[in-house]
Amino acid sequence: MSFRVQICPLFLFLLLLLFVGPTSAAETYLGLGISARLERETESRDTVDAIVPYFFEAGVGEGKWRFMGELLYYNDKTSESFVEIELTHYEMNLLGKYHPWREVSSYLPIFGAGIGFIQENVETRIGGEVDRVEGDVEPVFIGSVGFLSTFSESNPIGFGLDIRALYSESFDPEVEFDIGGRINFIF
Amino acid sequence: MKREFRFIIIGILATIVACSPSEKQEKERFRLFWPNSKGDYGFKDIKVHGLKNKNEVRGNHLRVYVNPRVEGDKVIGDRPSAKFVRSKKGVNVPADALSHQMVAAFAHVNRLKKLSSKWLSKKITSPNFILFHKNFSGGDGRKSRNNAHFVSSLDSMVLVPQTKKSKIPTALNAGVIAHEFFHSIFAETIGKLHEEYEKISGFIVWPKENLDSTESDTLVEEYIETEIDDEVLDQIKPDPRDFDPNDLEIRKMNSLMLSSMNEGFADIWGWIYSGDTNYFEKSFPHQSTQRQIKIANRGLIGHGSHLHLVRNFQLRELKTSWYTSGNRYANLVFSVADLYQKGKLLIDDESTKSWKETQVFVASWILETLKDISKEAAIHAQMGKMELFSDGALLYSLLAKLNEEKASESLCKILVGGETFFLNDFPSELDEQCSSVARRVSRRPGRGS
Repeated sequence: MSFRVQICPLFLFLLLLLFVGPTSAAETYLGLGISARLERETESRDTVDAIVPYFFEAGVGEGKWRFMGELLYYNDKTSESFVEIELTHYEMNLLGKYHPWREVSSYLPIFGAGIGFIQENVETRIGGEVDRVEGDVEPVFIGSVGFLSTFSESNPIGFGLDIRALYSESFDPEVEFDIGGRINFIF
Repeated sequence: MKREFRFIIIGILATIVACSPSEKQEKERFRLFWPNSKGDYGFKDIKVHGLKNKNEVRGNHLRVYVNPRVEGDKVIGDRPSAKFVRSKKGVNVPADALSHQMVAAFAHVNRLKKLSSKWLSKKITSPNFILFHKNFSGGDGRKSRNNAHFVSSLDSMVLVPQTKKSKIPTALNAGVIAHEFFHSIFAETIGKLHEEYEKISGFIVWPKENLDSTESDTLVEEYIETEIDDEVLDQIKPDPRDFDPNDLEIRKMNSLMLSSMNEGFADIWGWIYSGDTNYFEKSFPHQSTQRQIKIANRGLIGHGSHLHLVRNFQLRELKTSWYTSGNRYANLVFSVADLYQKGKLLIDDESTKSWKETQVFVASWILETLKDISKEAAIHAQMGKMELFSDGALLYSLLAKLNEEKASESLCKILVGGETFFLNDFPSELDEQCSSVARRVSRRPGRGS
């Protein structure tokens, strides 16, 4: 199954949002962010390294709930003894977040869960030969905790930070952690 | 309520699409830069057997470590975490440069174990470790680069970084891996005998005292290059055999012969595994002239020359001569194997042989030679007197393989027609069989002329 097909849920989600239409109380927003994802180092599985994905998100929020779709990307080039490999990572996530203490303070934790899809492509260069392989789409399950500042039409810029645990059979180990910051714009 | 229902529907739809089953995937294949039977490299999907944990690049009898430290004779390191992307065909594609090299080296060594066990009809389990090490030091104290090593005391193949651009990185070069792999077969067959010789002659001493340190996180290889003098003699452990300086000279010569065979046969192992006579040139262009396999046989360097070397050169030069003398072994084995494959080895046998038959022929010939030398050493030990090994050991084991059938003229030309046969112990049966081809015994260095 190609990433185009797998990305379908995001478009489906956005399309349905259009049909449903934000209610007067709902906030539709876009966001940009950057995160640090912790991975084991290839040399030693006892040490970790951080890779830095960038992401774009669109979502809708109403009351204590937020639903969002994210597109995340990073690129990682390695070279050793004239073996050069470039990994390109695409990720699409659908998340629901619940903010139980929103009325008390926006800085109290907001909890989230969701599902995502990862596709990675590899370009390998050795001895003048180039090999490009498109990876299969792998599902990923996400749990998160963080905070998100209150934003509204009168205060259209918000920001947030969350820590995520991601589970996928394709990861080693199967759970990875990620800390990400975002800025959101209401439209 | 209505709105919540909408979100539930959305969630259900997204989940159904996301969780639709994908094809069942085969996971043991890896996308690697791999040679074909002619030694040409390209990207191929390779089944890697024996890999129990792909991320740790670990099998039952083979593990990979990156920059480990050494404590005593033990390799201590962290488990690696190789990364892969699963392709749509279910193939594991290495996602970084180190992961590719780790899996490729593992795959070659594991295949070599299986193939060598088959060729030699005995289980080969060594080496148990492949070490990727950026701090491995060469004889001059500098960090080794553009090379590969086998360290028998650690049961490890050591691959160091490549800094000179070449066609094939060392860790992916099937021939180079097989060359190093052969040293483990040699160590297993000749074993302690060779280690003993190395220590006595001072060619290589693995400085255990440096490696015992737990503070050291680097591997160290030091070649102790020193004249044989009283200090070296003092280092020699008491030996039941009658030992005197002349005996030491014999040991040095035997050691030189063993080391030459070790290198020459290893070059051949690289060829029979990779099918490529030119594999050195692909990773080490600067060594290509010294290590050519497919050139006309120039004869073996026997004791006559070795004595000259031992008496007239520093150990540094002797070490270089391992490769020079070793190359003669490689040339001779290649020339004979070529005749065997073409069905021109014996007078009465004109049937061409398959590549697999040729591999078995060569491998078993080499093994028999090594076994014969081990037997010789055992006899010397029983006699309590060290003597020179037969410098014609390779030819004697070939004669045994001919099984009393008569050598063809082509074979005779190779065996007795070489220009620099300095063999003290040339098999008389071959002289008889090849009476039509005159044996050329040319000058013997160190003996006038």
